[in-house]
This record gives sequence, C-alpha cells and structure tokens, in this order.
Amino acid sequence: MCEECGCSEGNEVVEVGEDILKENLRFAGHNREHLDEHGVFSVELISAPGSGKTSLIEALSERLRGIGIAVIEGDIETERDAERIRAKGIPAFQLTTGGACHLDARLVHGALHHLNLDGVKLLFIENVGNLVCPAAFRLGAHQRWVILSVPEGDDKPAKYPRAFREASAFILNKIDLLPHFEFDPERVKREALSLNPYLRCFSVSARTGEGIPELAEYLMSLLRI
Amino acid sequence: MHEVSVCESLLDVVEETAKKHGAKSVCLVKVRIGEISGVVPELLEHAFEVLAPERSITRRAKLLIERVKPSAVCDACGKEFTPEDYIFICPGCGSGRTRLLEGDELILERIRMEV
Repeated sequence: MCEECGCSEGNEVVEVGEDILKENLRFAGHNREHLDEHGVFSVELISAPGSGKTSLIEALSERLRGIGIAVIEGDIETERDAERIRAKGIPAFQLTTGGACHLDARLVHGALHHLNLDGVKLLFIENVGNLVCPAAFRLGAHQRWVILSVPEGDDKPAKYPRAFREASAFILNKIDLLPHFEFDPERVKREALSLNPYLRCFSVSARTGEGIPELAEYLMSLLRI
Repeated sequence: MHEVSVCESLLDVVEETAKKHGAKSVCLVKVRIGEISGVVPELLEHAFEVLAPERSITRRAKLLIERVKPSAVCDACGKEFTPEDYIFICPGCGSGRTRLLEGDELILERIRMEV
C-alpha cells in the first residue's frame, strides 16, 4: 500500500525532481538565444492594468529615437496597444492571449518570428496587466521591470512578492499625481528594496516626462551604446 | 488564475514521465510548491481535480502538495535566515546581499504509478 495517499495501487515510484514549468523555461532559453544572435537587448514590463506600461514605452521611445526599437504587446484582447505604438512609427506585434492572464515564453517565441529584428537594438515586451500571474513565467528577456503607479497605493510591493523579487528595476510611475494622493514614495521604495535589495529604483511620470531622461540613460547603459 | 496553466504543464511532465516508464496509470503526483512561487496551493488542487481526469493516464491520480517556506542566505556574513514578511535584509548584519535558497520553486518531485 502507498503510505502517502493510502491507495492500494501503484507498484512503481519515479523520482522526477523537475521544474513543472520546464517547457516554458526551454522556450525562454530559445528566446534569449534568438535575441542574443540578433544583438537585441530586451526588457519585459509587468504591472497591474493601467499603471502606464504602454505610456512608459512611448515616453522612452520618444527619448531614445534613432536607436532601433520594437515592441511585443501582450493583452487578453484587442490590438489597441500595438496600434498606439505603431502610431509612433515603432514596429509592434500584438499578442492576444484570448483569456489567459499572462504571457508565456512559447507565445513570445511565436511573436519573435513575426518581428523583423534587423536594425533593432531594444525590444520591449509588455506583459498582460497583472502583478501575480506573469511573475512565474520567464519569457527570456534580459531584464524584467516592475511598474507601480501612484494611485495604486504605497503598500503594494509586499502584496506581490514574486513580481518584485524577480525584477531588475522598479519604476514608480505617475509621480505628477503625488500631491493628490496619500502616497509615501520613500516607504514604497524601502519596502521594494527590503524584498529585493538588488532593485534599481526610478520615479517617473510618463505623462510629464519627469524622470524619463534618467531611466533612458540607465537603459542606454544596459545597451552599451 | 495561472494555476490552470501551471497544472497543464504539470500534467504534461507527469504524462511524459509515466509514458517513458511504460505506466498504465498514475495514482499519486507529489509536488513541492514554494510559498513565494506565486502559486496558490488550493487553486492548484482545484485545477488538478478538473484537469487530471481529462487524461486517461492521470484519470484517478491524487495530488500531494508539500509547501516550502522561503529560506535565504546572506552573502556578506554567511547567515542563513527565514525571511519574515518577505524582508530579505540580513537580520544578522543588515546587508542586502542576500539570496533565496528555496521558497520560489514549482517542482514535480515524484510520481507513483501502476506499470
């Protein structure tokens, strides 16, 4: 009899010891290789819906005009975000998950084969608006940035530990709204850094452009241009 | 609710392993889920109850989840500690140079099957 579940079946035990998401990790590895072969640096953006991921991409692209940029947009439905990006003259591929709450590496793999990466130096991958589910699925990007906006409240990092643990940078967006909210930017930064002491922290307003030059400069240092 | 995707991936690995070993059926699937993996064990259990019976090889399989608490080590002073409230600053020396040792894993540990 099986002492773990009490059943009378099962005459063989196999020790597996494998990552449940190994197939996703395999695709993520492929994606990274593909990007490296093309000399493309990629940044994945994750946040709750409405934190300003698309606006941040627009603001950074404006600032970094001249270096080749491409975007993969992830949403449950609609082409809206990709259309916004294309309106700025930047190639964008829209991934729609048709209900799924996150992108996975296989979806991104498909998108990469639709994008012409010639001349592209920087690829943004905008995940589905959600701070929980996307965190578990590596996409193969070189960095993950987590974005939080002022109206969401300054108590958020500890509520979404994995998103903050696995990010390289934390971007606080919509700081132009600080006078209208009880939001302590130092508290949120402290909390984010206690979760992940290696985080690079930036405060920006994609709308007014405040803080965008500093973030763009950081990005340029990563691109080694 | 990404537990549904995680469960599909789990069943893919279970099915692949069981077939490789010539199993007729799987009766137990044992996994290790880290507390900061972002996966809610109860939701994974619900997903398993719905999805496992859809495949003939896992039709009667039970899921056993071992929850793993986060533990970390400080690279500055070498102290191992349990990060309370997700605080990863070393309680010994105050350094931020810390690493997670376990607590974010999603591992298929073993399966028991009828060969």
